[in-house]
Amino acid sequence: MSSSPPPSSAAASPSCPKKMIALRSSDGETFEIEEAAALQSKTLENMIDEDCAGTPIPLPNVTGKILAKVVEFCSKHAEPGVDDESLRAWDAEFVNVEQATVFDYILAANFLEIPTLLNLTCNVVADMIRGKTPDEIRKFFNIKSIFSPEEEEEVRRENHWAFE
Amino acid sequence: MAESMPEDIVVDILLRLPAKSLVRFKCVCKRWRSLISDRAFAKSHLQRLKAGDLIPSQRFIISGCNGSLKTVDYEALDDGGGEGRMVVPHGIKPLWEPRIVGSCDGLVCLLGPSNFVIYNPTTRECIELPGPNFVDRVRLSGVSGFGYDSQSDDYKLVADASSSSDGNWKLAIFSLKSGSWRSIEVPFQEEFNELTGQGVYWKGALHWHVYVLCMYDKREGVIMSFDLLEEKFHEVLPVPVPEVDEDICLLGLGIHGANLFIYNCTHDRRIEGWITDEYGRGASWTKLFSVDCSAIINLDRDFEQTPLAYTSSGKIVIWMDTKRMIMFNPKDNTCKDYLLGTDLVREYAIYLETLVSPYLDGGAVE
Repeated sequence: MSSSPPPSSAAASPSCPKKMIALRSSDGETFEIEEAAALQSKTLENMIDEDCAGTPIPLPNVTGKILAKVVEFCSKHAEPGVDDESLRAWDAEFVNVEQATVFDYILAANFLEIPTLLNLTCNVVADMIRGKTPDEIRKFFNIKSIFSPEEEEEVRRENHWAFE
Repeated sequence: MAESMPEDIVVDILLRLPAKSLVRFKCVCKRWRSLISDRAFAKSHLQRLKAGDLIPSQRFIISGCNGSLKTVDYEALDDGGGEGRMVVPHGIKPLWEPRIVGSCDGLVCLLGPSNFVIYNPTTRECIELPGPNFVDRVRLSGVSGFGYDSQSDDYKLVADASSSSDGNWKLAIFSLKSGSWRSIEVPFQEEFNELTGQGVYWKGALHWHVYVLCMYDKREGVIMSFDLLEEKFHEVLPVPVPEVDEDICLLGLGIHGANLFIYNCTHDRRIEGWITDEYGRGASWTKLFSVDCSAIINLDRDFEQTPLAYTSSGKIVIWMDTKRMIMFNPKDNTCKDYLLGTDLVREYAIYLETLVSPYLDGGAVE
């Protein structure tokens, strides 16, 4: 461990610049994020605590395109003085994107352990799928249904009333 | 992309869906069928449901004199969903006018001609309970109720098993977990004179409204509860006192979301509804609505119309008679009529759409 003073997690004083953390995406792009915003991610928090936040942190599971948005999300959620209603409206706009992108956000939020983003995106997907038919669900998640003909018949019989 | 979605995230998403959607999604693939039928999944789903707003998952189940059971989705009606979707018949084995004992966590307890039945209207799983061997037929004219005891993680059915009016009162209790009946003796109290009918399950206990005599020969309305853990009666909550007590012609308990709901109707057709989410003597009631229904309810008939629910748009669902219910809009004094079907409807219960299975052990279907 280095002998420098312990990293400050308190708000930066006016004379001291806010601590920035550097992140590198899977495709080599570098992003800077304020420490307060980075702490939204449990993964990043652990890395910062272990004082390996010197060099850009490599994130091999997240592309530059998505990482840019994740940084934006975390920064917004670390901003002081934002009221609940505005934040909710901002979140709604943030996830107003195409399905593939929402999936990417989910995977990034899962990898980086950002509970607020994971919760938001899972709710979005839940809303997207609640009214779908089983066939539409299979297409959506790219699931191959491998019921045998007997099982298929039984399942169909068991649940026919669920489709009335 | 979609294939690489880890299963724990898929589960997280599924747990946010309403039970109705999940029942449909059992057909998607083997893995989902196994997941959704799993007992632990149903439990997590119920916990998440209770952590949020219960009202979107609330329905009524009504029983008709020819053995029909139907579900009424009153919020969907309010949204203008059309009458076709309102009443969904259940195809379970025809019981002759099933009596509805009560409901808890999405399980509805019914009494058929010879047995009690526990039924989940959302998953359509149904089990018949063995009869108790110490009474020929448990009377449903006394007290009864169905609810959950969190300490033993067990669902219990309570029924009146008294055979004669001696000093003590006998209750039969069925435990779903053990699959057996026992009876307990309850020391009789003055208040029990008025205690009758199905108790409303709320927060670990069954509740009834009764009048008790207090000082100066006055009647006071209180709520009595039967705690399912201790298996004891308590006098719990004083009821909200309306302006003029003698005017009241109908009073009862119900459920509104996560709250206990009490309504009273006066002779001049004023209906009031109150809710509370606190337990115990110091609990305060919030007035949910107070409306004048004289424009739509005849003054020359006995007032038996029961307010069943308060929709999210502020309308009141009122059960008018054995054939119909109305949705009353107090903002403009209008109402819409809904026919409940050809069977005369005598009983109802409010229930939640859940995946909870009456087969407590087991869990997975096949």
